[in-house]
Amino acid sequence: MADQTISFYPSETRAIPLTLIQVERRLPAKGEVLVRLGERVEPTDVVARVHQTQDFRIVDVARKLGVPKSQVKRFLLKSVGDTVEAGQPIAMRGGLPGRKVPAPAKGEIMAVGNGRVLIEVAPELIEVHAYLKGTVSVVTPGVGVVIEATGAIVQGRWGCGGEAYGVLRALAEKPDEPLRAKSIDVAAHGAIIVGGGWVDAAALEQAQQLQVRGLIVGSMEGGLRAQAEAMSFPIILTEGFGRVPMAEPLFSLLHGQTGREASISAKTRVRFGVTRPEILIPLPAESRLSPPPPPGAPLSMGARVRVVRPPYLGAVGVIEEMVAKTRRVESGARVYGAEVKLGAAAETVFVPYANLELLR
Amino acid sequence: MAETHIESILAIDVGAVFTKAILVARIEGAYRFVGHGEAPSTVEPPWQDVIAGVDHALEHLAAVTRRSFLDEHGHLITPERPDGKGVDVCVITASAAGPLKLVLVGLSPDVSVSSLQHAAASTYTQVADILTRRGAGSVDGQPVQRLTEEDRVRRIYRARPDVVCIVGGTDGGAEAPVMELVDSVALAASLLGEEHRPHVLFAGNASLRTQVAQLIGAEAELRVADNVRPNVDVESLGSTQAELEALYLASKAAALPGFDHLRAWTTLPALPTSRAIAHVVQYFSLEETRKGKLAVDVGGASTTVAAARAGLVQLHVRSDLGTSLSARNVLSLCGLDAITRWLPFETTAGEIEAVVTEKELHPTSVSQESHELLIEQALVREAMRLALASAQSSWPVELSGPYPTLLPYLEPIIGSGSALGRAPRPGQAALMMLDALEPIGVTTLVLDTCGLLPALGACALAQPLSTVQALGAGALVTLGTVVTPVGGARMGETILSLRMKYQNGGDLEVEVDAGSLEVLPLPAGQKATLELKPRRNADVGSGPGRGGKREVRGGLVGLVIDARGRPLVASLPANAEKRRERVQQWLWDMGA
Repeated sequence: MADQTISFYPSETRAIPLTLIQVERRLPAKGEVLVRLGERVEPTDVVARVHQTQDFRIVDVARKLGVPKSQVKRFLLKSVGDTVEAGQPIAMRGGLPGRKVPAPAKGEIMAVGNGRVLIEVAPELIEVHAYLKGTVSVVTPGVGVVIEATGAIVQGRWGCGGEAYGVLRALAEKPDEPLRAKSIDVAAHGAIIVGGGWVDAAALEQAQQLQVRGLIVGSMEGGLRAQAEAMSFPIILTEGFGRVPMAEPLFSLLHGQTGREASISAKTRVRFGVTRPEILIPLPAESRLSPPPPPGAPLSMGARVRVVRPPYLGAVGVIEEMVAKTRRVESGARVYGAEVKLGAAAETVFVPYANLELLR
Repeated sequence: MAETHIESILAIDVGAVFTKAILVARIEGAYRFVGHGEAPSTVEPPWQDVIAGVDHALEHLAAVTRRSFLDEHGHLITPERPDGKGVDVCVITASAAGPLKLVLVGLSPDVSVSSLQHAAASTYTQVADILTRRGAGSVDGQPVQRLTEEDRVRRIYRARPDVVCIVGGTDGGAEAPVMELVDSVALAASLLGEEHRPHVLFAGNASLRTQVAQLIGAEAELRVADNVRPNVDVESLGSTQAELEALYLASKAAALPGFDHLRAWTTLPALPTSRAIAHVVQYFSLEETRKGKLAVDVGGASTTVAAARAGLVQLHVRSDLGTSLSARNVLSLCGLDAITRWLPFETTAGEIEAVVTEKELHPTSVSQESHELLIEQALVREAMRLALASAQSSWPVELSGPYPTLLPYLEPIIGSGSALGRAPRPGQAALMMLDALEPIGVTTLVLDTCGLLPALGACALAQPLSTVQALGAGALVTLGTVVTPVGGARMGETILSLRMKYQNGGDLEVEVDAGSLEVLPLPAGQKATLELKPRRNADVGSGPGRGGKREVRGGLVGLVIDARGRPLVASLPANAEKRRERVQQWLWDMGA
């Protein structure tokens, strides 16, 4: 292919020390919002809830009473919306001998039709928590809210487990320092612990024993994935799998906030609503801030970037040159890319555009 | 606009990972592929707008073709202006949306539901549950239990499907049992409420359509297709396939953010990407009817297998198999050993896990290191093998060959998808295709290096001649001719004597041993006459022991003699070290 000027629009990772944080909290189905616009909320506050149908029973009343389907309504003792106890009659036919149809379980009558009664049993109460300490800035009745706060945002690459909040406690002094079991002592109990480089199996086990609320680390060996997924606390990897130090800007930001409360979500989804793990640290701000700018900028000279594939996985640097011609990399692939000056080593290396993301 | 006045066609394919823009234009009286541009798709956050990815792909295409396509407002310029800006027609294909979630409902698992499964596999679907009235039989090897009405309703309710497909009864046949199923579906649909209300597709006993419409009523949007089994001996899938494709476009693709803006660029209907690929394969099958044609497109999220013979096309889509977004499914379905068997080095589960995760999280990224590339290519092999195995199980007799467990004789075999098309060396693409598809006889391997198949298939909507002429002008790249003898010799014995007489002079004689993989020089653009003399009962495509002469074309790889045996995995040594040596030897043999 002839050489051309081609722009590349990368994905982004955010590591912003102070910005406006907005998180949307939505119900899975139409329900009830419990907070008002402008209300201050704590992470554990319930902001919305809904009762969701989990199971039901179908009672064929027509057959049980021996009446035509069209006439069932005449014999019903209960209406749609009524609650019933197990064994309580829901329909009755007089005469000798009379017949009664009992409710098969405790529940609520959802529908009546075609000779049958449908009873909802054991609806599940789903509660949505605020997750972030902040202010309710948007209320969508029946649907959910937006919580707003000022503070720091750090995005991870992979995570497992759900959400948590707690005090950040840094257990490493350098971004490449592995998180060992011996570093995790009783002070980690109930905290969100922050490691440096990578975590091993023993450290995961120790974190479980000490009931940490969350774990943030640069990386871990791919073989530990199943063990990590079985932990009772959320785990966030800022770089991915392998033995990769945490990117220096992310480490500095997290390390600098030790002792502060943070909300973390390890939810990771790669498709149908891509979701990345995140660490949100509410911080005071003197003036009203704007949310981070939307994505859209192509890669350009001077941009701060992070590498997403080996051999420089996790390295952070600055684009020194947008190379006009394709180059061959070790795998044999001919690719467009950039000369990137990597921070720590001050080394300049060629990285395919496709393996770079903007670090904001 | 009259077809004959179409000078230029822009084909846009919105994939799960990449969005491609392809220009086909009339040059010196014939349609030619002019250029292509691509960019990461922007369906997901933070973009959440299909148009952004299309704009980026068009920016790339504009740089390649030195032609602009959009006006100052970002709208497509159409028709083409005298100054060469814009295009006459735009065609759109899409596979970026998630698969249609289906619940299949029918009387018998072995008859109508089996047919329904074949129909469902022809587009981007995910079968969430299968409910049958009769408890007998099995689906995918699992025994099917008889269900109560409550069970049926509960399972539909919990599956939250996009579409409930109902089959059952031959035309004029069973009524009451089918209506009992329809009744359950209507009740489940009413329970799901406005937010999750499914479509209902009825493809059963045609005489019940009015009753079905009355019973479903306002509980769901009803669509009706021809009975998949109008009688016990006849399977009729076309109408159901068309309805499912229409539902995919209407309820899944149309819901992609920004897709409605893109649709406004053309009056032609959008196509699922897989259907556009099938059009190309069907065209090849009408051009030459003796042998079957095969195309396999391995995408980041899904894999499509399209096979055709004499116009009869079989389309099979696996929405769960892909090289990046669906790489984890491939690994979990085939297992770790199936990946490591294609690797010439020792590796760990953790190393493979790391590559799979990197591809999931950054599907557009590329392997900079050889080890990672070979792991990715092992995943490609297994995605193709799994997809082909499930596709082949539903092929009709027209696509059967002389050996029930092997592929039929095919010519050509087309490989498509970024992982194949962008393989750093042609030998890597060829070896992936050979290892995964295991062709037999004599065939030509063709590579779709730029992802043109969907575009060329969709161009036929605007101007059928454009597809024909662009394909004829070499839009696809020939990797080479492959000769695969099967049977008739033990490992190490001579299985084939071959003489190749080059059209431009010179010849070459080779004795081929069973178990070997050889590449003979036959560059792209050259032709040669091949004289094949198989040993005793070895078959090179004309039946056991039969040889003969034939003209063959060169390609980027050359003439490949794949005498490794079929099934191929049986020839892999059980000893891990020896296996790795064998795999390394194959890579060297193919220049991979």
